[in-house]
Amino acid sequence: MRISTQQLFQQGIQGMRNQQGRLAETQNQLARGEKITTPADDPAGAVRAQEIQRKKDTANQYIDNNSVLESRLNLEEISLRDAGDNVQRFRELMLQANNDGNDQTSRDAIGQEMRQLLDELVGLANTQDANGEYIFAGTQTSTEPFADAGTSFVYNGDTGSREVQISPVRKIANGNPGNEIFMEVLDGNGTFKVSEASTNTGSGVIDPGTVLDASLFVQDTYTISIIAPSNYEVRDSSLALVSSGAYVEGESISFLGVQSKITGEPAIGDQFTITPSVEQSVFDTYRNVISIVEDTQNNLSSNSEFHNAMNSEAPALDQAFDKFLNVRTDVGARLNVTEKQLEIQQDLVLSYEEALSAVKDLDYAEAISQFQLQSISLQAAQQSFAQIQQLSLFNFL
Amino acid sequence: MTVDLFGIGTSALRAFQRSLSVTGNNIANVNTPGYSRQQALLDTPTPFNTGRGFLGRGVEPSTVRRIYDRFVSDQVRINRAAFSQQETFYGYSSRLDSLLDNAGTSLAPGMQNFFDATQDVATSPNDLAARQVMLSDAQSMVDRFHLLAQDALEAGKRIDNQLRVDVNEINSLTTEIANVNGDIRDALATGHEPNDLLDHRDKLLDDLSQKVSINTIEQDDGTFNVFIGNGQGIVVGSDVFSLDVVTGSPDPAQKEIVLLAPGGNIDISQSISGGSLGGALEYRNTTLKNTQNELGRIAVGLGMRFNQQQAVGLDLNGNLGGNFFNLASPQVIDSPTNSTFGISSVNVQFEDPNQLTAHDYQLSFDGVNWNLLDVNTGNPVALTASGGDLLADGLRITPDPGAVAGDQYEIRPTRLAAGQIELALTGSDQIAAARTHLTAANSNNAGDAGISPVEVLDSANAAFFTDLNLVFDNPPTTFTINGGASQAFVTGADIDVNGVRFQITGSPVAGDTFTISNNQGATGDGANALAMAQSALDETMGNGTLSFGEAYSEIIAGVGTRTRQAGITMDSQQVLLDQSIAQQQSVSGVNLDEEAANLQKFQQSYQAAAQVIAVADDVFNTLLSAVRR
Repeated sequence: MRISTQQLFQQGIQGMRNQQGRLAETQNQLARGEKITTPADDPAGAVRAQEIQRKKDTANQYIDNNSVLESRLNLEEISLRDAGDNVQRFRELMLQANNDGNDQTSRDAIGQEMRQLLDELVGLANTQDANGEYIFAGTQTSTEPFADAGTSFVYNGDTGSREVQISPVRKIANGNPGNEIFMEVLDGNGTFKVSEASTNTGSGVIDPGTVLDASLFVQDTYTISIIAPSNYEVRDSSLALVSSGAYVEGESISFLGVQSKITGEPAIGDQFTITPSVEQSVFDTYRNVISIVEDTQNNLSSNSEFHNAMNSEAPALDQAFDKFLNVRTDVGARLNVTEKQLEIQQDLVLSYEEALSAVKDLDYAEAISQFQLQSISLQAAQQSFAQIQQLSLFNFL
Repeated sequence: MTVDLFGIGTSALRAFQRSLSVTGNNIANVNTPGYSRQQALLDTPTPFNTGRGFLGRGVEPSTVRRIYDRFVSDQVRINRAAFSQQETFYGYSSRLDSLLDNAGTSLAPGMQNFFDATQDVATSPNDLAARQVMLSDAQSMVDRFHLLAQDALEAGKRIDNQLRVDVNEINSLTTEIANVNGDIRDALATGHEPNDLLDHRDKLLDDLSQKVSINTIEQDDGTFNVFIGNGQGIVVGSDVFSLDVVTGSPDPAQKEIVLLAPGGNIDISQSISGGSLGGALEYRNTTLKNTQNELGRIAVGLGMRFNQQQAVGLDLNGNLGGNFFNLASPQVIDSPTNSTFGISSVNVQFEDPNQLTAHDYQLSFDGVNWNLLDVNTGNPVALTASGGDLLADGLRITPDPGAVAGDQYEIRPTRLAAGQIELALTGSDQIAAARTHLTAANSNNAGDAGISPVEVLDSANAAFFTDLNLVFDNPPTTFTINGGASQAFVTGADIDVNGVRFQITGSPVAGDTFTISNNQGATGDGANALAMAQSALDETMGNGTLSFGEAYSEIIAGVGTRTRQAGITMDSQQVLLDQSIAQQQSVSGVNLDEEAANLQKFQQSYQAAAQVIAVADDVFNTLLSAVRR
């Protein structure tokens, strides 16, 4: 083939230019450490990298959310544990106060400590997190949820709760609205509450009672009356006879799946009432117990009146204690899920990072050997160009 | 006879001198672009009939011809136009390509940061710092939309400039070609080929094909007619038809190329191809336009989604959320020939971001019906009547009552949207992170029925924020709300009151109570922000097939693939061009070694011819001396 001088020259230059271009591209890759410098290098890879990056960023966000959630749940857990301890201590004080050897002065001293426990419990229920949010206020987190309205405690929060996303499909509530924990606690033993009629003259004391079979219990107010000669009868609110029998001190009186017993010496005509449990805030229970211990009404003239009053109010504290425990268990379960999801998301981030690296990152060994090969090619192009340029017939004329 | 020998010798001297100068000229032009090597052609003159045979009379130069192959030259031009088109396209496209995926300019991290910040607000709705971050991340995202939109607009301006420069060059080239055409015609009349003029014209045609793809037809008089596009002549003999860049119609924002023909201007933007002009127009009409539309679609989709969610939430002050982003209406360009041009027009609004496409449309009125054509696919789009409006592809079109048959409108729903999205919120307290209402079942309820969260139907309802107390009657087949009339209960059925909707599912018993309470003051509620964060990841575009991130990835994939393709085509066109140039050079190019050999050859021939004259002289002298004696 005939070749023109210009063409020979051009060809040499073109060859060097191409080699230089490839070398520059490899050099750019080496400098950046990435295979894909622009999407055009590998459109599918670039999109894949972006997808993985998106997933990784989202997973990282879930991890961030998770840590916020975890600290909130931990705070709730600690607050509930303290509240449980508080109730525990309160019950101990109640036991102390129950001791018949106490005179009113020593009961007043116990009442003093009980008041402090009440303040502490209200404080716990009004716990704020690091951001100043009331954690037991539902979603009204800037409102102090529990306040003393004089006769009773009121809840100023709401029933909402805030959910935090910790995985694409998992949302976890970061708390429990306070009304569930502190307000909606059943009084009595959770099914019914006992009390003594104010007209009683005997020294009979009714115990808080137990539930044998809740399904048999019909919601109603029942009156246990002691009748002559030494019998009892149970009537419902419409005065229909529900049960009756001989009264033996300390023996169970049972009807409709519940039972209780009366100790001491009730007088004929004494009455004891069994009412279905209603919701009462734990603070109100505290305050009721305190008023019994301190006898603020000044109407507890005998030990039996004191014990009856206590037996009426005190069991509600067991309900509160159970409630705290239940919520704590629930929070613990959520913390478990949170922790598991944290691990999952962290694993995902790792795997995304690996995948991202596989798509984007440069194989240095390959790139460097390519770089060397391309350098040699460029050198060869340069040398051959220089040599060919020296060849001319004119040199020999 | 000696006179003949003198004559033969002299003719040879002259011929070889001529050959030497042609060779010298070849050497001199070794680096001249467009130069075809030349050859002095020699001939033998009519021999002398001696009666005893014909006797040669020496050598006679016939002409100087250039070594040239028309077909190879045409091939070079075709390849040059194709290469230049890809090179120009690649130049524009690769810039966009790197911009879209560059960490500093890409929309992807902008959106991701904003979505992450939304999650943070959902997690800590009354943390003012988190809200502030969400707002500033929203602004950064808007800035990135603007940056990309701005760059696309500027690319359009660069293309307009390039069109102007290219058209000017084309006009001066065609003027020159027409001039040379005239010169060639005159020169050919002398009977010899004007080699250098022909080379010059070939070079001009080469330069022209770098700008635009051309067709040439040689006329009998040796002139070339030059055509572009669908056979529009720009050079006919020695006449020139200039091109011009004019403001487009109906879209004045886009420049078009017209041919200034005697009968009026002909718009040839759509028909010309090849060359840098073809590359720029192709880029503008495909990649640039599509990218603008796609980016705009994301802006509209994202903006509307967040606005919708804002509208059903409460901000930190307990007010209903206002728009998060401001969006402009779709671009509508009226045809200047419309009966109502400049007076009234159709009104187009975004209706459903999920159904939006990234296409352009043409709306026309035939006197009875309105018709919508998808410009990208060329297919008609069905219009659904809704009130007095027409719905199609996520758009709500209010027709112009004054329109008459033949009126036309270009609708470009999302073309400019990315540049027009703005952050509407001014304070971080305006982020509507909370729900409007909180629903709850009373804790004393004996039944197992539950109540759903509230769905906002009409937040403008006067009693929208009124707390509701829903109590089941005895038997619990009916219920009352705030002591009103009893309503029948169907489990799971929608209950609509005061602009809110909720459902009660399960088996309530008599007396069971549900509350739907106004959530104003619930500063710790992040449920609405969580819904925003969720929808940011949901596939809410392209009829539920694309999330915002995926839609952006699609743009990158589209531009990346097109750029890569252009790069590959450019490389292969480069090879083809190199090959055809090599072929042309192989025919027409000067080889110095060859010329050196020729130099030697003609020099020796010249010396030999001189020797012939010397011999003739000797012979003559011999004769003279014989006669003198």
